[in-house]
Amino acid sequence: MISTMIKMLRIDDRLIHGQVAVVWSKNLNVSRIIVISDSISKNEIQKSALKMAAPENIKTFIQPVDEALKLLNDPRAAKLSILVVMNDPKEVRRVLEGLKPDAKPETLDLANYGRIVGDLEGKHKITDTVYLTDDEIRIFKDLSSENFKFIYQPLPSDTAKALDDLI
Amino acid sequence: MTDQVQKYDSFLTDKHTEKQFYRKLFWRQNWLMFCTSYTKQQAVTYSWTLEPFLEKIYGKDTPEFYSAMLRHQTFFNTTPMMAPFIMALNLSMERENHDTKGKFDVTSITAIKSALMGPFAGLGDSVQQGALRIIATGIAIGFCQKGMWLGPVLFLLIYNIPNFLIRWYGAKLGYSVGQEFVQKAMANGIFKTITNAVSVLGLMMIGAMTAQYVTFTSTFVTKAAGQTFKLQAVLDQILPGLLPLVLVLCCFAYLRKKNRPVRVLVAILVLAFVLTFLGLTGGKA
Amino acid sequence: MTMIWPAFMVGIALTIQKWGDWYGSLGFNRPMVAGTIVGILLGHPAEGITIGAALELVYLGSISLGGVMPQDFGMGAVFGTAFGILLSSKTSVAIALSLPISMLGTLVYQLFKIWATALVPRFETHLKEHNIKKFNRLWQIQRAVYLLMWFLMGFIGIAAGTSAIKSLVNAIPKPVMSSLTVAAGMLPAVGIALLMITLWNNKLAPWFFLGFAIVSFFKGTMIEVAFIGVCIAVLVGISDLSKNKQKPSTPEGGSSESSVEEDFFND
Repeated sequence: MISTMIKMLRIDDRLIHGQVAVVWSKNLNVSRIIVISDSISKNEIQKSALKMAAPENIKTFIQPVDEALKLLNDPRAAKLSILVVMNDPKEVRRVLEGLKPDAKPETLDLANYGRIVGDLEGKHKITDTVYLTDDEIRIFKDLSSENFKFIYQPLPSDTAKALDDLI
Repeated sequence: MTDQVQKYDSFLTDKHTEKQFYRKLFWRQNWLMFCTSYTKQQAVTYSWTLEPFLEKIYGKDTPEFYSAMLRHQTFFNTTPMMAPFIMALNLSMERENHDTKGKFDVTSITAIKSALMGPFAGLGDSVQQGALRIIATGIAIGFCQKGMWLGPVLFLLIYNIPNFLIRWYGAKLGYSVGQEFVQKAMANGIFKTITNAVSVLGLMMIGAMTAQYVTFTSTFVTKAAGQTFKLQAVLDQILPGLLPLVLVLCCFAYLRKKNRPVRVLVAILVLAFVLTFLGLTGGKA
Repeated sequence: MTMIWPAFMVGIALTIQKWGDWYGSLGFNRPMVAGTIVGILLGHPAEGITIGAALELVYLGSISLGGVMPQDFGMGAVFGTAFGILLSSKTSVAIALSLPISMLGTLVYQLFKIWATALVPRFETHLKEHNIKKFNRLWQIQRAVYLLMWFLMGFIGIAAGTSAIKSLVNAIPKPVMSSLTVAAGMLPAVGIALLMITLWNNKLAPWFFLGFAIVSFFKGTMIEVAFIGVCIAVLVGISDLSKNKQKPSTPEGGSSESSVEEDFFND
């Protein structure tokens, strides 16, 4: 493998917010951020909010799953280094399974999920910032068996933990 | 308060109800920080703030009222000063939802909250903590050091007048201008411009504070070849305020790499002890 | 000297401080204000203001964002000022005492927040059961508990701690005291450095040094710097805005696919 262009696929309820995007994109030294979400790519106000929150010098795109896969699977993408941010495990599965084998993300990070949408009852607390339903746990177990191993690491200064050990 | 004979659009029917609406919203939103939780941050009190208004829109104890209340249990976290805008915007959307009976996409109500809280916190924190507070502190603290009443009074006025103007007019703006306004404001870079301008002001103020309020002078005096040698006098000739500036820049350089303020506090205590025992500081100059 | 009355007053002071920290973000968490409140209630306003000012400088850069407090400098300031006044000791002692107390305060608050977090599902249950009365009652309860908790904290801290703190302070040897005074002057550097981190941006760095120069070289006052600073900030803002206008509006989501692609692959 020459290089993995997707430095990280990060799952975060709030996608790009505060220092998080700045810290990670500096740490990973990426040149592009792609937010992949079918619903948000249709919502103009959320799109402009995300673009505003993104670090100034990094090009940021908000794309639906199919369009994003087209971009990521394009051979020209190989020279870029990319941070992918998503907020829906189902879409994450579609992306991971739709990517060419050599485009597999270097790190898969489940960092902050499950607190915004829906109520917490019926969700399992995985860590302080991750709450999953039974269905979502199954998705991550399936992905793990397909060798998509997730870690939990909110910030670069936190130690990474394997998700397999947590669920 | 009148009963629910009044219709849902009653917030702004005439000058009187309009005033009442904004006043009530203003007094309730001030409580936002209470009941902050790890899981949902300010969500509970966000919904508590909207409660009487949702009651008016959907009617007391109706299933629609409760589903609206539950809708606002979603995670919320922003600079409290910026929240009234989002609350009022949400209320205008709730009213529209009631007006258009089922045609309105209610997920957009929560979506706009989650979309705005991040950027608003960025803007709000830099204006409030980065500029207002620093200016207020910088100006007031000199009076405080002399034990003058003017100090705390000035601080509270400089800090809070803009704080409450933003809350009050934020609510008015949020209720009336709607989503497109925010989108335009974000797209044409106004938010970033304000943040940038405020950072300039904040940095100038803390530069000034470095010179004014960090006291780090040497009291070392010695006699060499019949001449008194005052270390501080030499340092002042190199650059006035050199020691405070170096100290601040060192702390900054370390904290930027490793965010461990307590360690720096302890290090400074130790440094002060060592320098004083060596006779470099703390004696009578 | 009975400590019950001062303890009661400090309890009230801490409650007011915590209330005005959250209610409308009035800024009561700032040591300058907290010190003043304690000073008024203990009948020594001028001392309260002065000690508050010294503490303010130490905690200049400590801010609480999103309910996350690295240090509870508000509580540290309340106790620091209270001990400073009650033991008529130096401000450097007040500072030294406030440091560990501010850390204890964070711990106390974290306990409360854990409790508040446990309440969140109960709020939701009340709404699901369509019982707004219980929802409102629970909200009132958590507010009352929050404020009462701080009152007790202040009361017990002073009632039980003053004599111990007094003997501790009396036992401090002279050289240590003068070291503490030196440290008190240096500690604002930490606060300023923390503030710099939140505002720093390499392009903006010169403004920091300009602010320093105005005071250090030209003996300007803070008000003068603020005045000049506002003028410069407005100028920076105006030039930023006109720059934004000159830029052609970037193609947004509605544009054709090929332009997104081009934008994505080209720098």
